[in-house]
Amino acid sequence: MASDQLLQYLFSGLTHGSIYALVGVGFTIIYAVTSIINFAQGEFVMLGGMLSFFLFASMGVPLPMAVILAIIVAAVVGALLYLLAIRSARQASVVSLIIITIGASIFIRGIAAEVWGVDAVRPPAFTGTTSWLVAGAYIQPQAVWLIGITLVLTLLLHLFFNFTMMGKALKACAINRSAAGMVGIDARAMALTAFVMAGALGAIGGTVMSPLTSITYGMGAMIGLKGFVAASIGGFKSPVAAVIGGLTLGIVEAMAVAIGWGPFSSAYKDAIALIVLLAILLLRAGQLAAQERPS
Amino acid sequence: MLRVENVSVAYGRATAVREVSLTVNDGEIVTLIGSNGAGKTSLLNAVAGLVPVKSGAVWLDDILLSGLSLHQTARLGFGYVPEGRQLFGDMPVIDNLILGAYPKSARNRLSLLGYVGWFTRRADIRTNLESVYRLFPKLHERQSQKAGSLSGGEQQMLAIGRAMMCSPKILVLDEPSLGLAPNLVKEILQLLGRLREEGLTILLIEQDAVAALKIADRGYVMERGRIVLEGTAGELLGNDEVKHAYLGRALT
Ligand SMILES: Nc1ncnc2c1ncn2[C@@H]1O[C@H](COP(=O)(O)OP(=O)(O)OP(=O)(O)O)[C@@H](O)[C@H]1O
Ligand SMILES: [Mg+2]
Repeated sequence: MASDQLLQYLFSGLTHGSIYALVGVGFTIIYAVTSIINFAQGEFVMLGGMLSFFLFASMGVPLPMAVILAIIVAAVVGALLYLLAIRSARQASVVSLIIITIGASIFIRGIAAEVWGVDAVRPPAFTGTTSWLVAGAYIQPQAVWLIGITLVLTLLLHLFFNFTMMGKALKACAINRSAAGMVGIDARAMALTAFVMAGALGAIGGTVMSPLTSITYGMGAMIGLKGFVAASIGGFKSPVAAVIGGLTLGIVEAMAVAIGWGPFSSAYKDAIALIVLLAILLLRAGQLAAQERPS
Repeated sequence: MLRVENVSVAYGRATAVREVSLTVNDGEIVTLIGSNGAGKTSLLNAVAGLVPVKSGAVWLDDILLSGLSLHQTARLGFGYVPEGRQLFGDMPVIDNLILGAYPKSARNRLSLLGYVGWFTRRADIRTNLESVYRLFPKLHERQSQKAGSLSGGEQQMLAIGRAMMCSPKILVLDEPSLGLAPNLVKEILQLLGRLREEGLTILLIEQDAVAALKIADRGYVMERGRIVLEGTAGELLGNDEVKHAYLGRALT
């Protein structure tokens, strides 16, 4: 394969990988702080994309405003998910809470279909659609936005978790929730923070990605799965690890398609995430069981 | 002053603590002794807000603690050094200590987004950090080492230091000597004596009754969820029942 072709696939992998990364970070933050796997994570991406499109196209909100509003609304949905569904189910086991998030994702998807219909939509790109030629490969400005924003957010998250008091308090909850309580950290406030962050991050991904690939009300399931795999590759440990996991998955997908390995023509691209997931489950099954926190 | 009034604690149908009352006056060291399973940890966990109080009331000065959750009692000055230390093992020593001052930094929500280095430079937090480092120079030496990689004794010092970081009204320790070599136990107990001289109020749970009563002003003996005996340290050390039940091993 020519190197410019390889680069083309690499661009594609990084673009898709960025969105997996942002979703994976959401999974990771919520899991670390609350031990819950939030299966409504992909819905935040859908909400971001859908809201920005409908605010812009149907309500005439200028695009930058529409994007910011979409992110804020998704963050509020994250907060409501926690406050209404998770926090009120106080005595529920972690497994029931995870099932609640699955229910929430079906609910959000259903509302989206009712309100916005089932047709695919595509908001306009932030800064034009004329692709740039980089070392023989083409990249769309919107893809540069997506990759760039992902990298900037990764840096910000790294700084947040390692150098701010609140970041450290979130980490403390992740390491030992009752010890966090003993030093005065309100575990529920931290859980709420985690859901808000996850909602905002997913929606940022959705608003920036949707001009690249048209989106529908039901896209959250597949994106959620990919983000889950990204978080799994990262071991649900740190946001940076989830980003690396997401980018890795994106590149692996693109390369598998590039070399036409086995049945993986682009039609079967999505199966790669499942194979990666299966491999991780087999490798990590023992590890995860050993790490399981006593609650 | 900590007042525990008729507190009961139950896990499902099993009652672990039955109508326990005890008082710790300002500036006192009070020790609660009792054998394994007596209910000491259950009582402390309930007072701290980790497990619910089934009945009764807990007062810290004139604030009702019972019914509050863990982070609230911590913010009101209940400095808990729990059984098993419960450190943030993956974080360096310094971060464990700074998080100990979380209630001080959390007073202004927005400042929580600030750089942690600022907090270590803030006068009230820096004073506490310096006094913890003066008490435990080892912690200063190892401030950037992960808490989980410290020795058992150093971890216990860190647990105490972390609780001291937010200037608690009362320091409550659950078997700080657990798993430590005898000379370290002595060192920690002597340190508690010194802290008391500086005006700190201390409630100390211990299995080693002699060692605890030697530094304590008063003591309570707990058996199967109830307080069965109370008195000054001298009285308890001289009490035949106590000698028989708890001091026998230590005295022979
Ligand atoms: N989380 C729990 N769930 C159910 N029962 C518990 C729980 N924690 C403690 N118990 C029971 O409550 C009783 C008192 O236990 P507790 O840990 O309070 O005793 P203790 O005096 O601290 O003992 P030790 O000196 O061994 O630490 C025991 O019978 C114990 O089995
Ligand atoms: Mg105990």
